[in-house]
Amino acid sequence: MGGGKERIEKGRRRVRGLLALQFKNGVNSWEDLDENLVGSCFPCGGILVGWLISPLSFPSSPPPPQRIQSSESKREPNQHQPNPSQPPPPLLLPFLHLPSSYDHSFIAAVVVEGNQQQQQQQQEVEEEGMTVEAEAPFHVLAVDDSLIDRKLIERLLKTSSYQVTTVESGSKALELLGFREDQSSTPSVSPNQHEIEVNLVITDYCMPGMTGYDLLKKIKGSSSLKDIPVVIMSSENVPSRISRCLEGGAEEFFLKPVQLSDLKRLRPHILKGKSNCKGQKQQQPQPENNNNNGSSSSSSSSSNNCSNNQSNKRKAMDAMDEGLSPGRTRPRFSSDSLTVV
Amino acid sequence: MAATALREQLNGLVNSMFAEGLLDQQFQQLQMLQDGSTPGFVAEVVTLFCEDSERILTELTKLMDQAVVDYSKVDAYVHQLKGSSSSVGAQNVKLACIQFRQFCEENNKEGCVRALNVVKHEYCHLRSKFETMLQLESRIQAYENKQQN
Repeated sequence: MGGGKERIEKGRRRVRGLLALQFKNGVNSWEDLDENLVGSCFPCGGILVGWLISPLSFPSSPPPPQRIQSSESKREPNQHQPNPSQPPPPLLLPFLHLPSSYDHSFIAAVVVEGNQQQQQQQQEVEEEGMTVEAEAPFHVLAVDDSLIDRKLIERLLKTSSYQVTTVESGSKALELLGFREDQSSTPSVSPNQHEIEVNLVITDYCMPGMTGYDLLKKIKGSSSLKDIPVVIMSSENVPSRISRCLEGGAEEFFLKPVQLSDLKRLRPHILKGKSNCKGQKQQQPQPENNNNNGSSSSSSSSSNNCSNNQSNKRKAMDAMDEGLSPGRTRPRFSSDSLTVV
Repeated sequence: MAATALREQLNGLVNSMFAEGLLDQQFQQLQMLQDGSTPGFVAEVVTLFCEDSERILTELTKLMDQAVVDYSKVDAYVHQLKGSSSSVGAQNVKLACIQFRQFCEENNKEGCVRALNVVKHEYCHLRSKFETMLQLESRIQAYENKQQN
């Protein structure tokens, strides 16, 4: 324990890491951002000391990074030991330059310093190898047998700030998603290396072999995948086809050729998908591991997707507060709320 | 400045293609998707479209040459071509495909043969314009690269 303790001691003084939080909706101004982040304690036990913000996000220029009062001081004193040492000095941080495709959302990165009170959480988080990436937008899986359409949808999605994976068939899509035929209850399988975590599937309807509708049914019929929103595209405007798809669980039906403006309709579904995920998590009495939503993934950031990007400010606060009170033993999903954007 | 003259030429060409109905507003969508980070996007899509179309037209020719035409296969290919031409904004080709599918549905061999010829004709016309467009683009790109150096 000696080595660990030393490591944490050092961690206390050093910048713990860069956590990027992505707010898609509900944060329209610096004031909103402030409310969301100020007074938030992070599960890893951090104190918000500064931030990097995309200069593209808000019309006015951002305030300089500043020392934000830790919510610890706002909490009841008997809930945790007071921090005996001096608060760390504020850090001046450069602005993060993001590509212009990010002007529909913004990324706020907060620099967090380790806090001795939450040693336990820190250790857990470190051990989990909390990955922090500067930006990890929503991930969309696009399925289309036409190469040209795949290129097009990929560019459309990337321009709209999504991370994209394209595949040419429904069966490839299912393979990537880690679909297993006999899933009727929550599986406890070890992660398949090929599995990826997606926030939305967008698929062509007319495909040889498995149609988009077939793929939709498979996804909705799978306990681990059913909460992934699915959107169907078709070049043909057939009302009965459209209603069949919507009744089958598709969130939207896009007529091809799909345009940039159509993609704006994706956001609410992706966000809803995320909060469904979170809902699932909360239903479990003890979130014992990161794979509790069933779609196991090899990356530790997998279930992070569930708790982040709350469109509702209040939810964001709640998510962060979950990890807070030091009295509680922090379950391993502590890193989730941090995400990893 | 030579690059400016080339640009004017390129814009003129593209505008005339819109005016003639060779291209529709979907092509504009493609242009909008091209930016500093993806300078070759339109060229890439156009090139893919041409390769894909030629493959399909070859297959269609073979199928229509059969004594007994398999209309479902023909229709499947025409559907593909209609889809890709729609996606790139190749309006005349798309319209010709729609006509073609009509004849397929009716199992009208003569109609299909004629329709195939129309599609080929429209495609060839479009392709030659696309070739000029891409040449102009790459010459402009070459100038701009030189200027940066």
